[in-house]
Amino acid sequence: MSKISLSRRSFLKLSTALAGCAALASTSPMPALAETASGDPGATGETKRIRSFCRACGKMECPTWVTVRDGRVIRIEGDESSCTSRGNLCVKGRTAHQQLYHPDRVKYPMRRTNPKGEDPGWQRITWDEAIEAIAKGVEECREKYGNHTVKILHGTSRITTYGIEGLSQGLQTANIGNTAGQICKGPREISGALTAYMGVHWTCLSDHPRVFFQWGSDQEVSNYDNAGRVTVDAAVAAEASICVGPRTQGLGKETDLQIHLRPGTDDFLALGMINLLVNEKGTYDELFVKKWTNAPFLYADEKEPTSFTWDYAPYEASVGSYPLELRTRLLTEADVKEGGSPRRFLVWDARSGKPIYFDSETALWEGETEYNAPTEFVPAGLNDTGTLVVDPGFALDIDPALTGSYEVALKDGSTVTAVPVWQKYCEHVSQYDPATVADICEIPEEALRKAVDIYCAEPNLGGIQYNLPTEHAANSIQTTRAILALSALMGNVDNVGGNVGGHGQDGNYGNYFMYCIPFGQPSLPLSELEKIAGVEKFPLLPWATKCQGAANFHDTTTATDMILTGDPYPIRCMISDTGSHFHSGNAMANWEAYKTLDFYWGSELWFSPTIELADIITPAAHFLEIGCVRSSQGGEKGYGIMVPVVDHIGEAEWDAITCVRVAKALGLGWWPTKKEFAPPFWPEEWLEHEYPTEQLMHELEVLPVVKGMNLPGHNGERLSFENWDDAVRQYQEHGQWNLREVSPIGYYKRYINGYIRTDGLPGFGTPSTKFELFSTVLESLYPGEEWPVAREPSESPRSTPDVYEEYPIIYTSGRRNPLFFHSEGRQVPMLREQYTVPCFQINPETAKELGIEQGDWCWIESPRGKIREVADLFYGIKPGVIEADHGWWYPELPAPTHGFDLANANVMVDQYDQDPIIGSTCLRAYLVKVYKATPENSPYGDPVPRATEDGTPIISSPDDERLRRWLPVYEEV
Amino acid sequence: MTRYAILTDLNRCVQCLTCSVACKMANDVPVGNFWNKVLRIGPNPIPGGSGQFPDVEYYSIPIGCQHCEKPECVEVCPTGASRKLENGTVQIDKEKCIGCQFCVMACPYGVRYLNEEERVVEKCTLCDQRTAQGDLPECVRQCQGRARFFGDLDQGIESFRGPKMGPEETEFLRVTQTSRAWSEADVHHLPDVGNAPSFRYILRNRTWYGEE
Amino acid sequence: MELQWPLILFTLFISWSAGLYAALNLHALAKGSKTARMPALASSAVLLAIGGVAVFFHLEHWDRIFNGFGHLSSGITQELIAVVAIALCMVATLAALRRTGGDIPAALAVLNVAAALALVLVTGHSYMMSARPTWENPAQMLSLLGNACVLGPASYTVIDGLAKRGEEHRKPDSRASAAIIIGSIANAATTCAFIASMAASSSSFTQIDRFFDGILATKPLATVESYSPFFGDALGMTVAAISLSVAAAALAVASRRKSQARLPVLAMLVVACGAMGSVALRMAMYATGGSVFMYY
Repeated sequence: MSKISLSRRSFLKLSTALAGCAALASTSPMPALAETASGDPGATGETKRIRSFCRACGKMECPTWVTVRDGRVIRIEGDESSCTSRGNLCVKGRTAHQQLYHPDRVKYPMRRTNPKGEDPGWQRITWDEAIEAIAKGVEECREKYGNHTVKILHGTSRITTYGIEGLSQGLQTANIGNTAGQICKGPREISGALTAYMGVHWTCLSDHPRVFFQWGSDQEVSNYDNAGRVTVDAAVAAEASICVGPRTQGLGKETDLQIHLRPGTDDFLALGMINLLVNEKGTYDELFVKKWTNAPFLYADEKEPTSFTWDYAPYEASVGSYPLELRTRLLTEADVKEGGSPRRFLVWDARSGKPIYFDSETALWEGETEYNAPTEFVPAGLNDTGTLVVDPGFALDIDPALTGSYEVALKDGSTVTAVPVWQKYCEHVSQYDPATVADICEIPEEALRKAVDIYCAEPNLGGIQYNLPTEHAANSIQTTRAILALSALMGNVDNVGGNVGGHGQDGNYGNYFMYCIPFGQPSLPLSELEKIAGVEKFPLLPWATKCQGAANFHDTTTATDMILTGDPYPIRCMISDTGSHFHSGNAMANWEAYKTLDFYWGSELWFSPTIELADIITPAAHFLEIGCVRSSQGGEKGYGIMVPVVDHIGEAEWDAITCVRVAKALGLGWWPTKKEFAPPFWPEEWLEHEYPTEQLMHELEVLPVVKGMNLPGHNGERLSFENWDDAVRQYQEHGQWNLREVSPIGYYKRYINGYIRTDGLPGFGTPSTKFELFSTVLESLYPGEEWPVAREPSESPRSTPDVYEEYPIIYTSGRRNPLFFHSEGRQVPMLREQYTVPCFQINPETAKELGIEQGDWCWIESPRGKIREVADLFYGIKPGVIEADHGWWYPELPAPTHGFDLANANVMVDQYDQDPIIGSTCLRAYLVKVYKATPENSPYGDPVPRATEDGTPIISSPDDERLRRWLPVYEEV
Repeated sequence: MTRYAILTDLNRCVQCLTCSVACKMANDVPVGNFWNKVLRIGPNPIPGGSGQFPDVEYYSIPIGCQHCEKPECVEVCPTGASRKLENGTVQIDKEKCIGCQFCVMACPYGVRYLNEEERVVEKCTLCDQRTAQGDLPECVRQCQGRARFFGDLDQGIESFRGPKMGPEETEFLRVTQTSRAWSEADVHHLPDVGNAPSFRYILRNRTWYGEE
Repeated sequence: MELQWPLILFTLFISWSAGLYAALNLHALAKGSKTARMPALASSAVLLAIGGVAVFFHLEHWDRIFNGFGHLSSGITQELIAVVAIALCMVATLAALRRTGGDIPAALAVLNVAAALALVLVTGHSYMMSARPTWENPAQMLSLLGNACVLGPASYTVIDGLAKRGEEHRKPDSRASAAIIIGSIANAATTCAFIASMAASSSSFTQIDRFFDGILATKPLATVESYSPFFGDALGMTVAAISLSVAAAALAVASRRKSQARLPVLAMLVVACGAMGSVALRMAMYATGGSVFMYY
């Protein structure tokens, strides 16, 4: 079928298009808008179309056109000129103004008047009173218990900018970060950073890979981090397609091969594919394996580990690093030569028949004096707007051996037998033979072989899109690492349509300051960072925080225990930025713990259950009220400016500003305008404002571009703004920029030309600068995990047959419902009416055995807890397995629980069943029993859930009057 | 003679529900009523297969007013409020409707309903005002799967168009530019009880439910 | 479908009015006694009016009712015309009765019967929608006719009895009894025929084995079986309709030897059974009234 071409806009046009804006059909893009989009009743019939971004999920960031009439948002639609989204706008973005104008939004600062655990009896207070109370509450806790008593709670923030991350700088607490990140993207980012670079898992589907490979994902409805429209376009355009997941899925059903594996066995499947690839097929990208991975590095079982310090900033130099003390059995120059460097790793050169070293401090092979930089570049990627770096191969006449057994003399005179990592790797993965994998995953062997035949036919066919399920079976690092390795072995890391990374490198190129605040605590002394909750069980956590993004978190389970027990130190204070107690860990345990906190302040849009435990609430502004730079978090390579389209509703405030006010009240200073925290390039005049204004924070976001610090694209083009307002103006005129054209993000295979590492060396962001099939970090901190490890889920028919007797159904969860972003949207009428109740999918034959029919309310019960959901008899799932909706609560039910106890899947979770490396809770792949809800076994004698507090029934039909009550209100109160 | 209709490529529909919700937002459809709903048909065991998972198949299908060639609703309307226009669409003149709701009963697909506030019947208008200005109906333009296309049946479904990929000055893309090839046997319509529904559905490699 | 009470009552009172009106005119053609004619005419007019009031509760915009004559293919337009026609006939008949002291010219009587017949058939026909398999059969239309056949003679007999209350030594009117018997048997037959046709229409529904509609997730799966007159709530209505129509016929037969004084009493019971049976039958009709594509 014909290739689609986007018309290319000349970048040069930008510099002339500032004053008189050209009309685009019937629309006129507008200049800086926050001041003009007022709700002035005097203006009549004035309609504006404003280019902005959507932030209704966390986060594809689809560019939008917002229509505003008389200061009121009346329509939001996608922008078809966008290279990342192609006009995509899902139902969440389409109905965002129903959230903006929702009658139940938190509009004013509130103080509780009743004890925690009851209806809070919220009382409206002034902003000044709120700030004062917050400062008092937080300060009392810090004085009594120390800095680390403050715990940060946040999710993916519909209010856009994670201002809370900036506040924690001043608070100097170690218990920072995105608690949702621990079970969402954090594992992929961390395993990616250990192996290659932070964010490598993100794929670029707008490139249209030749093979479309979806693994534990349904971006066609989740838009995460590939727009649904682009995802379907890519799948249809591909030569072949594969979908891995337990169920028949919306787009998956159209793929050429579906692998319906048992929940929680993705690690076995990945290693099974790798085994066939490396031990049978052999079609891996040999140059990549030899030159860019540590496969040829020699490994000696018997030798004493060699130590060295690895000090590298995984995200960005200004965010800093957490040095790791590594100890490895890889052979280094230090082992064979007196005064040799432990950073020089030995390989066996088949050409010369002797060991040579690779120097990981210079990224040079022994004998190289300077790097053989690539000279050949070819247009590549979406409409050839990107540039593929062509690998010039080895500069020297060397051929690192991948196999063999070599006797190497150590400096003390003894000899060791050394084997290339590759050889051990291949031996190691051979245990995941097809018969074993087929048995464990419960799939036909032919499916495994066919997957390899398709995906491993040749290198460069495209990346693997792997999402949440791979992180949710308590083996998140190893599972995600294995899938990444499979993609890498076939040459798809940072390749066209491959696993390319996203904002993890943005920091490198100076495109913007991430959300205008830093993640990862650059200013916290490392000795304090090491007090992060969970560090005893998960020693990698301090280092992980330096990866920023979702990789920055403390362990939720440990923090909850610390709240309850005070061991090793008490956590008594919590600050939340639209965070919830039911994304990570066990919901009931978290609820009970948060109830006991001395002080809890939250910035929120909604009266969600978690916030009903707070002492003070402040109203958060909705994304339609806020501006922010919008650079693709994922691999779709877009950049633009989100523009506020309306004034703040009620007294809502941008969370970043609220955090500044709190910092000021606490006398904490604010990164980076406080002199001690400020980076060297900071404008002098800004240091005069210790606490930045809203405008200043916007200027901060675009500062790197304004200062010309941003690196250019291949043709020398780069973004150029005079200031924030100019950035907004340019965006209105130009629409989303394709970062391929204006930044090093446009290069493919950036590891060849040195655009991956934060220090500019070629290669990957690892201790060896190589893609680490063998992980030196894991070898050091988690011995045994350096080789790939697949784990049977802890609670399963095979590992706990006794539990299986009583709980005979395998449970999975988390599939994407297009209407709701996790726990959001239940109070939006146009969304909730489409799907009023949580449903679980069950095979009709299993349902029949259990006496369950379509539409029946049923109990789903694990050894930890139980919930009720409605049965959807679904042949697309295996008998004996169910998939139940997650994230539910009922806004129509009273405070404080709003019915989360009735419906939220996380009450069933075992919070101690965690990934052994970074502690992600097992959210899927455990055991439950399912039985019909009857009057006898249901509270209030009603199978249909009713509020624990007072028996109010839930909304379970689109005709419920309460849905109408949620329609927008426009009066300014 | 023009026969406006919508073509849906069901092998691309992923049940994102955007057509259903976007339509409601654009047309201010009351809570609890819908101009366009997306149903999941199946999964059902594939005929001739094992009869069990994973030999199952399903498709999702957006259903709304089919703007029939011989609309039953127009036949039964006593006031002529329901009428078929020159462009092939079926519209309701709300000034004339007496709210007898016989059209609601006469529709084989049940897509009409009484608007309780205005006390007249309403339904999908095929975004008449948008198409008159050369735009696509909302459900077509917003479709995330790029599965919906709008055009004139008299020109053949190959001529139908969907959302653009590019700035405003570019053209709406034709279905033949973005969808995979199909055969005549893949083209379906909803059950016809003499009303001759105009909308067409492409469904490849799957059992279609509902042919007469 | 939800029970549409205004429409159920409308069709009841239309058939009743038409049946009574036809009985009155047929009795006149057969040269029966004149006593009951005026009260019967008045009653059928009142019944017609009640039917009109019932419909008032169904229409939303009464102010626009005259638009309702706009579209001849529409069953409602046809009904409106038929109602107007029979009303005009009633006015003409009233005039004739007054002018002649109780006579109806033969030609007018025949016209009246035709108008009544047309009204019932047109009403039934307007429900014959290809979208509703259980409604589409002519048996549906004929069942209204059957209702008219039982309600008409029986009501007329009641009115006749009331009108002749003071008279002594009257002979039992065997023709009245025969008319009631024929009418009620016809009604029982058309009732059963309609129910049989409802049951037989199941193959016309589009069958989808399994499907899911998030909007109606808590509802049981819609199946073709649920639109059978012998399923669920419809079963009770079906049984009631049949039993009541049979009961009416039984009472009618039993009326054969009754005295003049007793006949109207039995006729009243026949009317009651016939009316309730008619309502039950229409209830069953709505309960099974799913559309051919019932999944929206």
